[in-house]
Amino acid sequence: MSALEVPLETIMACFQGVIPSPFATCAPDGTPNITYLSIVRYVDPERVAVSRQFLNKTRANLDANPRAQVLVIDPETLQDYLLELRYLHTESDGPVFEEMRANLDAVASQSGMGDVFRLRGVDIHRVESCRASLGNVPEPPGERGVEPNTLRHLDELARRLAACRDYEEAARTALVALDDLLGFEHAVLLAAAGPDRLAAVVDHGFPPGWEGVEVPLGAGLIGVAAERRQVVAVANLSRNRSMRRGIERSAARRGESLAAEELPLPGDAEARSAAAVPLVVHGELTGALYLASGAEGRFGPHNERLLRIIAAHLSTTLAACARRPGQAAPAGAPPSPHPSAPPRVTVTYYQADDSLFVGDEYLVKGVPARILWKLLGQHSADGRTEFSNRELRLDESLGLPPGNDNLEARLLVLRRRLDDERWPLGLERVARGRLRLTVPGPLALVEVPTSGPMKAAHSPAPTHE
Amino acid sequence: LSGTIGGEVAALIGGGAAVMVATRDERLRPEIARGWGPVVLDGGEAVRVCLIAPPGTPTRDNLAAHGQLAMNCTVPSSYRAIQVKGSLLEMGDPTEEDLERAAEHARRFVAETVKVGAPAPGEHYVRAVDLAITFTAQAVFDQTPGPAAGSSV
Repeated sequence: MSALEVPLETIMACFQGVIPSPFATCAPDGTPNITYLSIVRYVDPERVAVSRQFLNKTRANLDANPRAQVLVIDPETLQDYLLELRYLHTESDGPVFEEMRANLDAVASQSGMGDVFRLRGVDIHRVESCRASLGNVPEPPGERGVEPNTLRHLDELARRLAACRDYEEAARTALVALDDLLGFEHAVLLAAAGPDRLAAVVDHGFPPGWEGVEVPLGAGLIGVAAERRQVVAVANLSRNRSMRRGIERSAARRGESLAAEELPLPGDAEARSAAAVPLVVHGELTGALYLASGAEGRFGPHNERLLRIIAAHLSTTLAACARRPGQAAPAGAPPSPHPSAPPRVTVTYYQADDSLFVGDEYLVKGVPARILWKLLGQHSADGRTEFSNRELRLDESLGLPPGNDNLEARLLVLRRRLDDERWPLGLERVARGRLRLTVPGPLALVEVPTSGPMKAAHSPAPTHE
Repeated sequence: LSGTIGGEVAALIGGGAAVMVATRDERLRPEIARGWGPVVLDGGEAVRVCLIAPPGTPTRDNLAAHGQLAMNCTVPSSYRAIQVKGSLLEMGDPTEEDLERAAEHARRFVAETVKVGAPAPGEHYVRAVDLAITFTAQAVFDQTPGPAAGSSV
């Protein structure tokens, strides 16, 4: 704890980024300047960090006179606190900078303002005093925001996950438990679906429609969080929408427009705060967890640590489930072919970008595409409809990484994509480690070769003697 | 309006914007105070606004000693924002008219904050208003985030 009149630890809610903060500096000639900051971030009991974005005058003032003041606002009580600051230095790398940059870039990408926002650096200030502003509601600062049952809830989450026997069960159990135990009502679990994208595999609390949806790495809250391996927590999505409208109007007055559109998010209209948390195992991205709430401030710097702990446990549990050997398949005949004679279905695999199309409609790409292509090829060759995870895992042509191949997650991505009624193909799990392919009738399989950069990946491997 | 402050900016100042006033002391340490009931006077050459600044507080002392100030007005629902820089002309107790204007501003401000999901206790603040100041408007800057941020208006 610091010796400040109001210790920063007692007003952590002010640093969630729900309400922007007025920030005042003073030029050498005595002229004050006052502007707004999106986020004032707690660094330690004596320091805060602020982002350096549009603040040219502020920058010049701080270079000449390091004294500043910021007014931070508790989003629950709406009490103001005045922090007297002394500018220390600017960071353009390191953990504080990277965390703030990931958040800013994610918000900018999500709201289509990537060409407007750019984090040039993070200014670190020492807090020389902190006091309640005049005219405030006379409520003493306390330990609000601390969740005393968090450890107990994490313990229960770990117990529930430990009982899961496979990837899908663990994924569903996790999302239900996050709701039951921590009140995270809306969640989507995404799994790596190739080197450059994630796909939704399980969701909870959202309207239907997100099954199998793909998110490119680097795009939006989820994509940036995954690409940077950083938690992204946005305390007030409404504010971002308002800011976009403000910037649009400002640009329009200059005859300009914003180049990018806002990206959709699960439950977009109702979401007021959200977080995207990368799932990483042995340094490899295996997926992401997206959480949303209808309340402002549900996610923010105050619970990033909790989200990291949840993600660490969830990712290792999912990886362990995915590696579990499958059980023997139950005896049974393959399903009978379709009684009527349906039209032939054309499935096309494009080597150039590892994608699979049914008719002329994109289905999936990456490893899930290669898996389905293999199953369809096998089915065309010998009529098989049942396959084991083990034979997929041992098939080197699929390009699964040795060790942590994340096969269960990739199969779940594929199955959720095929769940959509518009696809004539189906893939279901008939037992642990066993899959059944359903096809409507005759298939026409077309592989489009490439002469481009992907050619080597599709060439036969050289043999060695 | 033909002065430093034009009609569009005057409308913003007289609407439901969040109003923040910055002063500074002799060591160039800035001090922030909320402003209530701002109004543009003298055809755009001056602004009057109420503050919470009891005797002995930094804002009142700063104004009495130096009089240099900056006022930011930001509309919570649109992020439209301006900054007026100026010098103190007079300060004193708020009049009945000042207090009525501050109360009306508080109502508009609360309505604005409701739009963004963070309703503010505007009336509570206004009950504590104890100082009214009038200052010259020497320069106005656009502070709306985006390409025009920082430009003169």
